[in-house]
Amino acid sequence: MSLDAALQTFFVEAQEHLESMESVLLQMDEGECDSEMLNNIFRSAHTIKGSAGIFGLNHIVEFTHVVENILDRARENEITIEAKLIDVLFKCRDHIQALVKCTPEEALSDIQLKDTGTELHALLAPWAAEDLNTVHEKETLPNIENQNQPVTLDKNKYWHISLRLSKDCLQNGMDPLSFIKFLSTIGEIKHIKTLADNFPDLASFNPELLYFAYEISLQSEASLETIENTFMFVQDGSDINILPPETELGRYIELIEQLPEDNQRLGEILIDCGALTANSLQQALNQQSSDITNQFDEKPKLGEVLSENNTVSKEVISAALDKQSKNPNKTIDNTSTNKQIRVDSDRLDLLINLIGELVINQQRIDILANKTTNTPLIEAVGDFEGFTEQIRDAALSLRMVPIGGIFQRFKRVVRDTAQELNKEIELVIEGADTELDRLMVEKLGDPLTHIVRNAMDHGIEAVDQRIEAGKSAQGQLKLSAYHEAGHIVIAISDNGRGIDKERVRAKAIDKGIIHEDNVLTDNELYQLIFHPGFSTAEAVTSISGRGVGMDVVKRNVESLQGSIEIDSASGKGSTFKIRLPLTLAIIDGFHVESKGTHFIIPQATIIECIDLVAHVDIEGRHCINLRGDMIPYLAMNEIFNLAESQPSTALTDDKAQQRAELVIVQFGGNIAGIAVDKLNGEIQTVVKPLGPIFKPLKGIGGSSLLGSGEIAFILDIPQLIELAIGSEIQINSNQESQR
Amino acid sequence: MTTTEEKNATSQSVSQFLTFTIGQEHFGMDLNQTREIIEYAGITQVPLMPQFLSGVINLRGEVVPVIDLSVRLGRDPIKIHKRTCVIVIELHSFEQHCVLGLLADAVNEVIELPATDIEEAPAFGAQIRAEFIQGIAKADDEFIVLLDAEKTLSPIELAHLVEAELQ
Amino acid sequence: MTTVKVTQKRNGSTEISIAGEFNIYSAMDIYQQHFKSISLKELVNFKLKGITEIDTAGMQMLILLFKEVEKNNAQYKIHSSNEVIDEYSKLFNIHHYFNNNDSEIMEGN
Repeated sequence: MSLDAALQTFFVEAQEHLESMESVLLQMDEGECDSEMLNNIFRSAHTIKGSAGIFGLNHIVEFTHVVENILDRARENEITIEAKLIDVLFKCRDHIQALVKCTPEEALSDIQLKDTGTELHALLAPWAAEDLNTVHEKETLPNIENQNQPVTLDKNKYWHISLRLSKDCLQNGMDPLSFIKFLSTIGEIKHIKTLADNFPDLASFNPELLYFAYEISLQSEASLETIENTFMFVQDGSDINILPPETELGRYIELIEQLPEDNQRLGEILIDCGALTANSLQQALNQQSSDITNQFDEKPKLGEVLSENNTVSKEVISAALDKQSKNPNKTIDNTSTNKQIRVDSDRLDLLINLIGELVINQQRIDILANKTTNTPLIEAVGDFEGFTEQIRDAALSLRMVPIGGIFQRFKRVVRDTAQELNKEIELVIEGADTELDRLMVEKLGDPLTHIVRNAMDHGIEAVDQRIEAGKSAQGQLKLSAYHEAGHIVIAISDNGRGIDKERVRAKAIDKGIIHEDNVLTDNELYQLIFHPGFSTAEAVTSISGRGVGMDVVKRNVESLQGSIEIDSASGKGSTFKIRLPLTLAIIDGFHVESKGTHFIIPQATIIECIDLVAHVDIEGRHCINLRGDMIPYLAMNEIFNLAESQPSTALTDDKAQQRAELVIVQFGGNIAGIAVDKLNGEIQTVVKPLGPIFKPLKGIGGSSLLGSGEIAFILDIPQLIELAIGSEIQINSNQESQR
Repeated sequence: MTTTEEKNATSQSVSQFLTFTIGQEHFGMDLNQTREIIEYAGITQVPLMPQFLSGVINLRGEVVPVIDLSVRLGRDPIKIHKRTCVIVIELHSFEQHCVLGLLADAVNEVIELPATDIEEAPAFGAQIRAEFIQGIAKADDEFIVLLDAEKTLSPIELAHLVEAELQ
Repeated sequence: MTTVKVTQKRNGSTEISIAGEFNIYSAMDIYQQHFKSISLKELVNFKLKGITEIDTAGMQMLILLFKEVEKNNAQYKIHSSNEVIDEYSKLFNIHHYFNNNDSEIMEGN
């Protein structure tokens, strides 16, 4: 891992910890507070400080250290979490975020940032321990001469850390110097042994590789996690063993055997480090071997052995054992597997793309195999298809993330905005575990923020207005997510005043967006809100309403192949519904043809396929009678102006061309038919976006490659239904028919 | 503007251009913007598209729009023949990078032109919109129109043209 | 900038003087140019006062040379102390390499 990559990881992790801090603070703000929450928030601050220290980001260390101390006091029940403190902690968290975003140099030169830091430290002072300020002044950079401990060491604990760092760590910008310096900030290095045993000959020496090995004895109150995290960025290719104070003797022996250096010498080194005494090692070794006879018994811990021999004070042992029983699940060495691994999103995208290619190629093989009469081959290809599907699904699921992550962010937005607006607003979240494509999650943040702020600013009334209207003083904002017909719907609802249609209309006329004579449906009227330059707020506030934004919201949603609808009832509230495809990468589709042009209909939208017989044309619009209901339909060759002359390289079945097939599709409660020449069956298809040039083309949402290498167009069913229904509404208004 | 001035000032920079022929005319395009040249092997027409948008091709799994530059420059559509080829170009100025194919009758060579050998586009008189032309060069007694790909093939403008066609 | 001067004396002794930043950035060049095939016999005098910065790569190279000297049953001498080297060697407990005649391991300082 290079330094840049490691730094990148730091930023990502710091961001995660900041988010976690925020969510804990929000919970506390709601009056919840338990030791786990306190531990969590403490750990976040602690880890940020720790990792920042490794990278020499002292501006972060310096500020966060004070916050961490306060949180530590809260954790130890020395102070209680009160509303005022939560407010300050929110600000501190934001300040840490600001610090993470800038370089140490920027932090030094940014006077405002520095002032904020000082101010926040002053605000924290009432909760700080008396000696905090003095400790803080003394503790500057990690420095060997200045080993002031942020935490007073009340117990005697010696950790043993054995480092065989990856040989290329110097090349990657990781000098052991920084780790050692960092360790001396979280504890006191009692002893360090730098081993130069593994140096090669002069002639075969590579000056850019690391040959030193280290055995370190550390006195520290820090957790195993903290110490482990010190080496987080050099884990690859490194052999790092961290032995807590009362480690089982067996581990020491294992360690000695595992390390490349001579066993005898290692034993001496451990003695040097104070990890063992010569006597105790020898005795322990003897006892260990005699214990083989009692192999069903628990291995004696080194601490116990030593304790019996009275070499270590009883208090230390009991403290150590106590510590061990508190962390029963902690494993000692770094071979314990992490439940999560971090993958660069580009690499993930590459994998998904490659799997897309795999799917296409699998289909090609399928076609070729089915042309033969080789049954074993066809069967093998069938199996292959099954696995390909599984791989595809597994790979896609890697990209799916629960939407809860972004919803969570709004707790803070809502809290702050409500305070700013002096309104009382409760945020309700539903369907937080609904998963959607990571790509979409990233792009949804901005549009959602805008809608949420808009709803709070314009939708939900001020407290007195609400009471006057006979509503509860507290307004409600609801974020929900759910699946619907192969799409994900994200709804943002408020129980505010609703959209004033007349005002929207007046405004639109005033702005010249529509003409006074225009007759608009409610939906069309609401859509005006997304018109560039439209804003209904009478006063421009800082929250929303500079007249830019809602049009951008719509553009953003559309760029994700999604749509946005508004539903509103005067005095009751509004709902903004964002409808998005499940994934942008691969869909299950139905392959059809019209005049030699290939189309894919997303499987999730299809209800059934029927033969197209006995259709009626009403005012030039096609309709059919489907079990008593008149369903509008679109003929692909007509709406896309497809001529017979289109080259068709697929085998053309003349008979099939004669007959028209009708695919009945639905979307958002509307049903329509799509008439094609030929049904080719189900297909898995990789969505290839058609690019910005084709954006104005309605009814086609993307393209896809068929097994034959030909290009098919993916039909945008919502748009097509709109096209079909749009005409139906006009018919209905004339004919007073159903719906 | 300033960047080109700087370039001229700092060094007599030499740019490489890929030259190609459409009909009787010779064109050049900055080599940095071209990715590869492939044989014409059929094209999938996209419904309802204006004439300059010939269709899309499958470029090793990527669906790439193909532009008939001849139509784009206000001439007759290119006639497809055995030697027709597709020049694949990459534009970076747009939000995300954009890959396009251009139909050409023949691809000629890569030429190196010092900045001093590139003349400004004539303000008028050319049959091509002036903003499309990056400059005019002369090689082997032939004029080569150096096209500004970013302008000629701006995806935003092309999308506007598509929109106009659809209405 | 790092300046390295290696002078082989008639009497078989060698003088190695290093000045400037002695770190990973210059380590490869210095090694290739000066140390890869150096022959260290009799007495090797190190003049390190001019080193303004040292990292682990630089330190490793010094230790490599010291070890090579010892391997050849020769002796080395460090002339005058250097703050950055002192700081590094204290931190890593390797100052015994720099205490000329006394290479006994120092217990916790």
